[in-house]
Amino acid sequence: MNFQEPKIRSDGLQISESLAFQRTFWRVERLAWIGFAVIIVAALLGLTGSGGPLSQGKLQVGPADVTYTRIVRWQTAARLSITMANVPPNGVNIVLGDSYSSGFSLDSISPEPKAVDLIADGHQFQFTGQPGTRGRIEFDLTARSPGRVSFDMTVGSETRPVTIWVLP
Amino acid sequence: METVIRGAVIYFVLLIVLRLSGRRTITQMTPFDLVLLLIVAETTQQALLGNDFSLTNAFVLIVVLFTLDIGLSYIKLWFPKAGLVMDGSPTVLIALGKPDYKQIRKSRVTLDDISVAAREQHGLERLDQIKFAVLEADGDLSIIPESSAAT
Repeated sequence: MNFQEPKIRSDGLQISESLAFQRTFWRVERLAWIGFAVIIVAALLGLTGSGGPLSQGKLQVGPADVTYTRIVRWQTAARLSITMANVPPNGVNIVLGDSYSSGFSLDSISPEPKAVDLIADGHQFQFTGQPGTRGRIEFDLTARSPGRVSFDMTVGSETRPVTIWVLP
Repeated sequence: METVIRGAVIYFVLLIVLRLSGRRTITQMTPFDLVLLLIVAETTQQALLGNDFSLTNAFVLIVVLFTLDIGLSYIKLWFPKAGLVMDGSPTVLIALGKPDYKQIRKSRVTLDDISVAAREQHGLERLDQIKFAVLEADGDLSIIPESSAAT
C-alpha cells in the first residue's frame, strides 16, 4: 500500500500530480476519440449488425438470389430470403446444412413449405408454386449463441456456403 | 455464468469509455450531461439484464458489480500506478496566479469554470485573486485563494 506523502512542488503546492502520465493520457484519450468515431462509422456501415450496407450478404445459388443477414446480434432475428425469377415446374427444394440448426432457431418460414425432411446433410424444405412466376421464400432465424456460424445451402442442385457472424 | 460475464463486461466497458471520454468536471453537470447519463443508464440496464428479470439474476448482478468495485479499490491501493491509470492525476491549472493555458485547454476547462468554482468556494471576485486552481482526479475544481497563504 502507498502511504507516501505527496511531493511539494517548487511553487509550494503539495500535490501528487503526474504530469508525464497526464500528457500521455491526453494523447491516448485523443486516439480513443478517433476510435469512437471509427466504431460509429463501422456501425453505420453495418459491421455491428442491425442494418447497414455491409450487414447483408448476397449469393447466387442455382436459380435463386439469396439475401441473408451476414452480421447479426445474439438473440436477435436474422433473415434468409430466397428469390427466384421463375419458380421451376416441380417446385424447389432448399437444403440447409446441419450446422444452421445448432447456430440458429427457426422462428418462421414464409410461405410454409409443403414438406420438411431430415436428410443426411441437414434439413430439406420442399416448396411448390405456380411454374414460371416469381417466388420469394423467407426464413426468419434467431441466433442461439455468439460466434461464427457457417452452413451449406442448396437450392435445386447447387450448393453454396453461407457464413453468418453472430455478435455478442 | 452469463450474468457474471455480462456484469463484468458492462462494468469494464463503462469504466473505460467514461475514463477515455475525459469527462473531468463531473460535479459541474450540465443538462446535456444529465441526458447522457440517463440514456447510458437505460442502455446498460437492458444489456446487463438481457431477457432475464428474475430476482436471482438481479441478486447475482449486484454482487458481481459490488465485488468488482471492492476488487478495483484494493488494486488501486496495492498498485498506485493502476490507481493513476483508473482515476487519473490532479492537474494544476493556475499556479501562483498564472493560468497554464495548455493544461486548461487539454483538460477542456474554461476560465469561466474556474471563476465559478472560485466564487462558490471562496466568494472570490476575480481570477487574479486565485493562487492555485487544481482540477482534481474526481473532476472537482479546487481553488486556493491568494490570501490563504497569509492566513
